[in-house]
Amino acid sequence: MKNRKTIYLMITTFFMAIVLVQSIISWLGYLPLGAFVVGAAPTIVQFTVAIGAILVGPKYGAVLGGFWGLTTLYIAWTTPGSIGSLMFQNPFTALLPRVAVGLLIGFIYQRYFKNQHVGKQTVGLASLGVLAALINTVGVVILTTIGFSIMQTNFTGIPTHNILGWLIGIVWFNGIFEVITGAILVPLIAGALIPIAKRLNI
Amino acid sequence: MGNIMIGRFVPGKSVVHQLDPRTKIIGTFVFILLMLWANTWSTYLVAAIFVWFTILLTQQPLKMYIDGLKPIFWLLAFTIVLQIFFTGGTPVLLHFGFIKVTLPGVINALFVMFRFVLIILMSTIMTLTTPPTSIANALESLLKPLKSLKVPVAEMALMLSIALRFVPLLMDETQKIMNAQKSRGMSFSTGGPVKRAKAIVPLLIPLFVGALQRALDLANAMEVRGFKDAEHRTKYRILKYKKQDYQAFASLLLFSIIFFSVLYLI
Repeated sequence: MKNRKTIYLMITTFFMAIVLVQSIISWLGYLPLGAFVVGAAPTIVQFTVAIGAILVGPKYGAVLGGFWGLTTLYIAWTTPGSIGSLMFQNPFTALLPRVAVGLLIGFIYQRYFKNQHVGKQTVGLASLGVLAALINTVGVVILTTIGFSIMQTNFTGIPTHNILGWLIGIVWFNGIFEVITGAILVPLIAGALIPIAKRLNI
Repeated sequence: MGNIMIGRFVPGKSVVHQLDPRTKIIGTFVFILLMLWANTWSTYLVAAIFVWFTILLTQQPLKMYIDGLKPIFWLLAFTIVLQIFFTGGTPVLLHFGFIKVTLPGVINALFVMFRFVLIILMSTIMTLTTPPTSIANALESLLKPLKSLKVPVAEMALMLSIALRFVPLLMDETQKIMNAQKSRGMSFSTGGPVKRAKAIVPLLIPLFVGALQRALDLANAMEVRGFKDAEHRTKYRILKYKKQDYQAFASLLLFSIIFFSVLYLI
């Protein structure tokens, strides 16, 4: 009998490595819409986290999400200046929505879609992709608003009063593309991975 | 691709290379905290001298540090512009339409620039002189107190060091898959958002499947070698503070004292 824990641990580790690669190579982690000037860059890393969570369940999914959050936090602090870094220097904004993506997607998949047959599962996976994008976008919007307007800070002392509306606008704009991308990417990739995982008895 | 962010480690025999990785992490962390405090010219001068000395101690060519700053040049320029235009106050230096450039805005922009450059130089010193696996080991050791809160620190450090180890490999693999798809006539940079989202699928599926396969192989290999859990794993390199680490802590303390006396007394 194989030790399931070691397998889950290693799958999570390799998804962590993919998250890292996506954070380093920008065209693999973000959709190139050609609108970088205004800061529009829909991310697709949440789908890596979602697919990882589908394979290994909510607990390790949350770890994976947390790792993505930590990576964002690290990049926001060490490569400051981009629009994203203004928002993600707040550890709550960087961490909570991402952990939520891993936790909820893993939980919902295991609870409702795991034992469905393939046709129904595709619809379920597409809705999970949409959900992953929504959890991330809504979470980031709420926490950025709280961070900027109630706590009056973005943790760096950069004046914030003129840019909150702009930031939120960009996040929503990205969110729309992320929802569309999620509905396409997650069923295609998870649909290819789940049969392999089943065959390998994971 | 190999020269970005991680894997910038350059082996060497300098004093900084020989420091315990924990010393370097604590040092960098304390330095970043202090930089968030800095708000006068003299504090930036003191910090710049400290960074300069540390750079000299690493015995690496200065060019490497300048190269480390290059990728963030535009980001830095953007931040400075943001600072200049969005800071109010008097006196107003320039006035075009609704845009006002004020003296506090310019000073703030310069401060933010110095702060970022110094922080990046300091973290470059750490990544240049410390291999990623040592950083993971050091984090495990530093986060040990969290073990009493039932946080699986050992497991997390193990995952981090394996993930860091496989990043260059996955990057190579991505490049290979991309070339393979390109040779089949795939284009990654044309078409609308939906087409682009679809274009990335033939890149991601082989990457994910490859990673899954490798994960299983590694899990098997670990179990064959008797891996049960990360908690009881023994280590090849055991971290121990030496004389030079105490000297480094002493100079960090000295720097902090000078920094605060400059900040509050001058």
